[in-house]
Amino acid sequence: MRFKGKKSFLIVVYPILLTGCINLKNVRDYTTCSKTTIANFEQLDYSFNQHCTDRCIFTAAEKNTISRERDCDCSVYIKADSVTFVLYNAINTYYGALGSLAADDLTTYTIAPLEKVLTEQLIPISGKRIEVTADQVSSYSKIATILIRASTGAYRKKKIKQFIEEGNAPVKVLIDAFQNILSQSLSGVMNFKKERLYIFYNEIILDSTSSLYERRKAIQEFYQQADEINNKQRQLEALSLSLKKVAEGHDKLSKSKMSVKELVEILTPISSDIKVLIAEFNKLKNS
Amino acid sequence: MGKLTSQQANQLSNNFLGLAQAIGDYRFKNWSSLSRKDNQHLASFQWSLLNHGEDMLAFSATLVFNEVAESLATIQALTDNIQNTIIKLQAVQKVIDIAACAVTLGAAIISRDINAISEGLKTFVETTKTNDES
Repeated sequence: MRFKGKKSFLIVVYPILLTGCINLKNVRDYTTCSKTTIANFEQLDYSFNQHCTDRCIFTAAEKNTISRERDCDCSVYIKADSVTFVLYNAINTYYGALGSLAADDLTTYTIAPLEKVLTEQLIPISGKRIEVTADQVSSYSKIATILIRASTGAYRKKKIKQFIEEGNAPVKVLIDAFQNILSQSLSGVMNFKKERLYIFYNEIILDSTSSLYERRKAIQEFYQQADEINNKQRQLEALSLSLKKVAEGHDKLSKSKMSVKELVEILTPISSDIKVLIAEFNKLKNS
Repeated sequence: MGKLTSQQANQLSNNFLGLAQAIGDYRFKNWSSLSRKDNQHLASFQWSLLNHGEDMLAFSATLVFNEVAESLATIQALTDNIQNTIIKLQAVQKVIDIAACAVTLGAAIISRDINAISEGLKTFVETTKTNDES
């Protein structure tokens, strides 16, 4: 009977301990890294509208004209910013929600009220009343905690897998679009800015009325400003590459069975790559 | 004629930049031999090409919106779904239901009553299942 009791205990607890091993840590790490890299968009300090405003000022200077109000139509640039922001917001909110679902504290429930109930009264099971001691209450709490973690952990894992599968195609499309806007359109307008500077300073250098000092100053200023633009473009490139990694991780996750081994194998290198690219972005931003 | 895609707009924009650069190279190479009028004329073309080229890039970003509308709607619906799941997991009553079953099961385990364990397990599975399906 004693052996039978122990066996029953093991039958119940062993699967619980196994399911309790559900490890969402890698998913949490991946979503945290992804969210950080996506949020770097806000650190860019450059937008389509800002580009249009800069162009407006530059053109006024080139033409030697001044007016009380800036007279430039930036509506298409404002619209481009709003489209970029809608994409950013959709991807960021999705990863935020996914991260919250995988968060450690989401299912850290307190069972203190139940412990109190146990110490104050007896629990009827199958019509039989069982005396409960303080040690037993402590044991109940431990088991209850394991059970809650196991059941909600399995539930969360199942849900996360389902959401990642359903979200994979649209996430890929949205990240691709976001990435293209950043690496082609926004980075692209910077090429035009560089060309405008090149024309502006080249005209000063070639102008026979420019002094030697003005020519040298023009050369210095051109390279300084071109370097700043190049740096911004490299930031966009780093951000774009990390977004590609985010999408790659999502795709691999959606095709996996999400076993602990798979999660480690898939997400550890991806998260590590994203972290390197985040560091690269920050380095460029602070340089 | 099909609608212009964001990729095509990007490509066109690159062509405009290339053209503006070619005009610039010609102007600067022949700076001393070009008349002032011709130089200004070419410069004006150059600025116009640059303006149109970058307007096209901004325009290409706006075209993306139509191309991803469906995916955007799907991901927004999915995000709502995830947030609802989180709210569900945070629902105190449901957690208490699960915990109460767990404690009952715990009591059964400690009492080493095989019938009570079986009954407790059954209730626990049913309760977590109900939470899963709801």
